[in-house]
Amino acid sequence: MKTYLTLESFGEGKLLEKRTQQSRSWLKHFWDLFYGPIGNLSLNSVPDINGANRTLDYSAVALNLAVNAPGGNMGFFTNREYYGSGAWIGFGGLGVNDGSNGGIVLGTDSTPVTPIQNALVAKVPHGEAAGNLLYAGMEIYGLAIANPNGEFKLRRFFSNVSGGDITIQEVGIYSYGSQGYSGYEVYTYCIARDVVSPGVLISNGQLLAVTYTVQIAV
Amino acid sequence: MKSELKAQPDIKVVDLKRITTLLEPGELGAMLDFKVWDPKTGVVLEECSKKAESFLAQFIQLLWVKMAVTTSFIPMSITDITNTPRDVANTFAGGGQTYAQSLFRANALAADVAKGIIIGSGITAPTIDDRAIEVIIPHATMNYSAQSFAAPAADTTTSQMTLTRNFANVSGGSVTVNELAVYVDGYYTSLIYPYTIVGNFCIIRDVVPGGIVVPNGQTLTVNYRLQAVV
Repeated sequence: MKTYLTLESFGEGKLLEKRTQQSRSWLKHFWDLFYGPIGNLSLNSVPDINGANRTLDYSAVALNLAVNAPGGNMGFFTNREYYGSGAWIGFGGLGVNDGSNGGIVLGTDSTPVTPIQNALVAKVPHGEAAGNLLYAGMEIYGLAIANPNGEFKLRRFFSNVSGGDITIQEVGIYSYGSQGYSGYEVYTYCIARDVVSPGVLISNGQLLAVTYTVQIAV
Repeated sequence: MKSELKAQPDIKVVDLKRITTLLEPGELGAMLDFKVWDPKTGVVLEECSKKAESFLAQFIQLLWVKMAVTTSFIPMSITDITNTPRDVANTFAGGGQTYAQSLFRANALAADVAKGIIIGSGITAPTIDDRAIEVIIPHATMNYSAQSFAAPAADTTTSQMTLTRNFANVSGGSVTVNELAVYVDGYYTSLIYPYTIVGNFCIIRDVVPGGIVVPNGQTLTVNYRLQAVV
């Protein structure tokens, strides 16, 4: 499976720049979050995006690899793994109730990628203050399967209303994972990180679309 | 101990003590290792490793469902190993409840030929639309062990997790394994309680040129090492 990263910047309704590079980004945490679902097994000591070790519990793997983040600081609810009761549980108070802590995320650091990374080095926060970007909701689209290829796309829009310029040099994907029996606690994990060189300038008032195209070929 | 290196340029001797890969930088895929050995003496007759080539449509579709947390209101139609389209989802509603289900489970018990690594004798080259192994070699011809898993690990460039399964030839004759696959389960919608039914889906199918000959009484060990290279 190969993955391509496309960055498109827009200003005054016009495409200003478009570039595509092969992503080199899938990290060990992708497999950490895949291990529970495929093996029906728990995994201990997996660092979340804040570096805190978590146990990914086998009984609550439904959210593993999920990137369905809403926009910006929008909270959202999800249900825990079905284990008889089917009760609802929210994300509140766990540090992941901000849409910008899931899905495609941006940063300003150009440190090379290694397989074990817990987070972007310098993530751009969601917001309107200096150095911030507004994170839109995640999109998944473009499923296409025609032998010998298959693909889909993950996309997110970011807008700069900070009053200044921001140069993006790293892009990543944060995914969710549950800790505790039946997933009472949900944390986020970095499953992909790419360095963008040279960086992409987003001036005040401009929009950036970031698309990961996930592609397989037989 | 004898170890044979096959002639194909993409095949090399397995060294499971360290992470080895033939994947390119940026690639997410799998290495396929196989070993034929005598369980009585431990003597290895053949031991090879190659790049697994063939993630199928069902893999990319299930990955979509997983990443999007697809609900039963907008399920993904995915064809199962019986060649039947199923409305697969990760989150379901029914009976006044909303709940989530697992996807991608390959945790087969011994003798289970609906999950985990599966072996067959078909030789048709894989296509992305393959729904199942072409000609399955049944349990009791080759005894399928329980599926096992090695936890994720990484070196400076490559991360991986490993699926391993043993197949013991109890047929009384030689068996040639030409194809290998990975089956996983996933839930699809149902109109009756509990509103979900588990189905089985083929996510990988590989054909080994020339096949793997497993003499009677010998065991075939297969590793799929799922990898990502930065």
